[in-house]
Amino acid sequence: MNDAVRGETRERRIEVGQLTRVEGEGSLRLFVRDGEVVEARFGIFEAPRYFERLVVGRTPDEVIDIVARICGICPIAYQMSAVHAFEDLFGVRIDPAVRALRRLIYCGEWIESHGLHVYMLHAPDFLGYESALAMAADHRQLVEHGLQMKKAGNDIIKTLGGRAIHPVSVRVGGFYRVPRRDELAALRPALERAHEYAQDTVRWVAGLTIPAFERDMRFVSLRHPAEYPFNDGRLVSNDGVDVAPSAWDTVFEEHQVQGSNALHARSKDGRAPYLLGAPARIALCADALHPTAREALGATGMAERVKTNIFASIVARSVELVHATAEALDIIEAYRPPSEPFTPWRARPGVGAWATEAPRGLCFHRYEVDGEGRIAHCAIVPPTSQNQAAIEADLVVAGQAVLEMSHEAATRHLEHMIRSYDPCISCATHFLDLTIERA
Amino acid sequence: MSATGRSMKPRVTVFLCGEAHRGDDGVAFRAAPLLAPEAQAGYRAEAVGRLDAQHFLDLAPGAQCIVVDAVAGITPGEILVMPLDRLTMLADARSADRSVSRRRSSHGTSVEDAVALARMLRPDSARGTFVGVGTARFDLGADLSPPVAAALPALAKTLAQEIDRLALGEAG
Repeated sequence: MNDAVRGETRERRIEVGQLTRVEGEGSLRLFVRDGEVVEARFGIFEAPRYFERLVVGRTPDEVIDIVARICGICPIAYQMSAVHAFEDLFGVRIDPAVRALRRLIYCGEWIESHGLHVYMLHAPDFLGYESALAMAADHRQLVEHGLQMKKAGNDIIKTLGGRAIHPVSVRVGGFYRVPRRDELAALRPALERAHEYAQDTVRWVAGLTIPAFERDMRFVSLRHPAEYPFNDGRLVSNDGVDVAPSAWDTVFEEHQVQGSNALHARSKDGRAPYLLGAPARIALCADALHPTAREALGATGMAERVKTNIFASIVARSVELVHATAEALDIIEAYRPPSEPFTPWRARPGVGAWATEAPRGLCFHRYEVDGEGRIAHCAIVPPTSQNQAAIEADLVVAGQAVLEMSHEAATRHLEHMIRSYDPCISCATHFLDLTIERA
Repeated sequence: MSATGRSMKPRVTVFLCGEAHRGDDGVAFRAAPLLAPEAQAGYRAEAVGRLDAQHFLDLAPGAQCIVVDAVAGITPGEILVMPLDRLTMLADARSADRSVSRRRSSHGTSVEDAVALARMLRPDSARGTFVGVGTARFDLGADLSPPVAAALPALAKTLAQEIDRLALGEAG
C-alpha cells in the first residue's frame, strides 16, 4: 500500500498484483472523501477483442462457431444465446429432444465452470491458501473432487459439442450430430459421482466462515415456470422487470465508462445496479431447482443469506452444481435421439435477439441479418460487464472496512470479494491494481 | 512398430495442446499427422487443447507421456525438450515469485501447474517429457508462421525419438 500526494488529492495505492484467480486484467480504484469510500471504479485494460465486428458479413452458422471462441469457460452460453436469437428471427421450431440436449450441454458448462470456481478459485480464499496448488497439499480430496467435477462437465460438452473447449457441433436448428443413447449413458458413472460430490460440497461450504457483508441486492435472471433457467423463460428481476429474453435492450443499455475497455450495462430507467449469476438465479428461481438441489439449499439454512452477502455465492454455485448434475442425469435417462439432428431453416432479414443463462448470468446477443442472410450488425452483452456496476457498488461498501487494514489484509479481503462474483474479465473485455484516492 | 518402425503395444500418451485455429498455437496438431500411425507406433495421441492435472491423473500409475505445446519467448521454430520434472521447478519458482504469475489466466491451468498439481495428488503421475516449439504469432487462422512450419519435420522427428525412448522405459 503506497501513499502519494497529488495536488490536493492524497492517493493511497495498494497494488493487488496477484489476483490470479479471476480471468483477465484490470484495476480497482477507491475514492475516499472525509474518511468514507465514495466511489469504486474497475478499470478494465484488457485489450478489446472485436468479436462483434468479426461476425459482420458472416452467416448465422459461422457466427455460432465464432462466438464460441469468446470464452474457453463459457462457450456454450455464447452459442446458445446466438442460436436462440437466430431461431427466434427465422421462426425455427426445434425438436424436443434437441431442446433437452441443449439443456444437457448447458448443464455440462455449469458443472465445469462452477466446479472450477468453487473448488479451485474460491475455496482457497475461505481456507487461507494462495492457490489450489497450495491448498492441494492439505485438502487433497477437495481438489480431486474439483478436478473430477470439471472433467464430468467437460465430458458432456465434448460428447455433445465435439470437443470440450470451443465446441463445434451446435448449429441453428439443432446440432450437426446428436449422440447415441449409449454415448450419453457412458457419461452416467462420472456424473453420479459428481452429483454425490456436489451434495457433499453444499454441506461443506455451508459450514465455512463467510465474511460479514450485508446489502440489499437487485437481481436479474431468466425465470421459467417449470424449469431452472438455461435457455428459455422470461427475463425478470426482483423489482418488477418482466420481459421476453429478446427484449433485454428495452430495459437495459450499455454505456462507455472512462478507463475501461469493457462497456458497462445499466437500467434505462436509472434504477440501481443489478446482479446476475448464481445468487440471482437462486433468489429468483429457487422453486424451480431440481428437488435434490432444493433440498440441499434448504438444509444449509442459507437461502436468504445468499441474497444479501455476495461472499455466500459459493453456496449458490454449489447448489447449482447439485442441480446441474441431477438434471444432466435425468436428461440422459430420458434421452431418445431426435429423428433429425437439426431442423432445416431459411434465413430472413431482420433483427434477432435472445438472452440465456451463462454460469455467470445473463448473456445477451442481438443480430441484424441482411437480405442475403449475413450479419449486418451485432451486439453481445456478457454477464461480467453487466455485473460490474453491482461489483463497484458493493466495493464501496466493502472498501470502507479495509481502509484501516494492513496492505495484505485489505488486498486479501477485496480479492476474496471480487472472486465472489466469479468475474470473467476476458469475456467483458481485467486483473486488479487497487488505488485509494483520498480527497 | 515404434514411432520409427518397431512393433509394440501403445504405451506413451502424447498430449497435443493449443488451439488449431490460432496460428502457431496449433503446431502440436500439425505435427501429429507426420508421425507413424498410433496403433503401430506405440503411442496414443490425445488432443486436449488446454491441459489440466486430470489428464495426467487419468493415465495409469507411472505411465509415460509427452506434452506438446507452443512456447512463447524462445526463437520461433526452436524445439525445446525437457523432462516434465523440470516444469514442476518452474511452477515452484513461479509460486515463490508472485509477480511472475501476474498475467496468467486462472481459467486455464498452465502446463507447469497441471504437472505440479497432478504430482501433488499422485506422485507417480505426470511422468515424461515436455516438447515445446518456439512461436512467432497467435493470430486467427490455421496457418503457421514460416519458421514454425519449417520446424514441423524436426518436431515430428523429436516426438518419434521421445516416444521410442519413453516406450523403452527410459526415465522421462
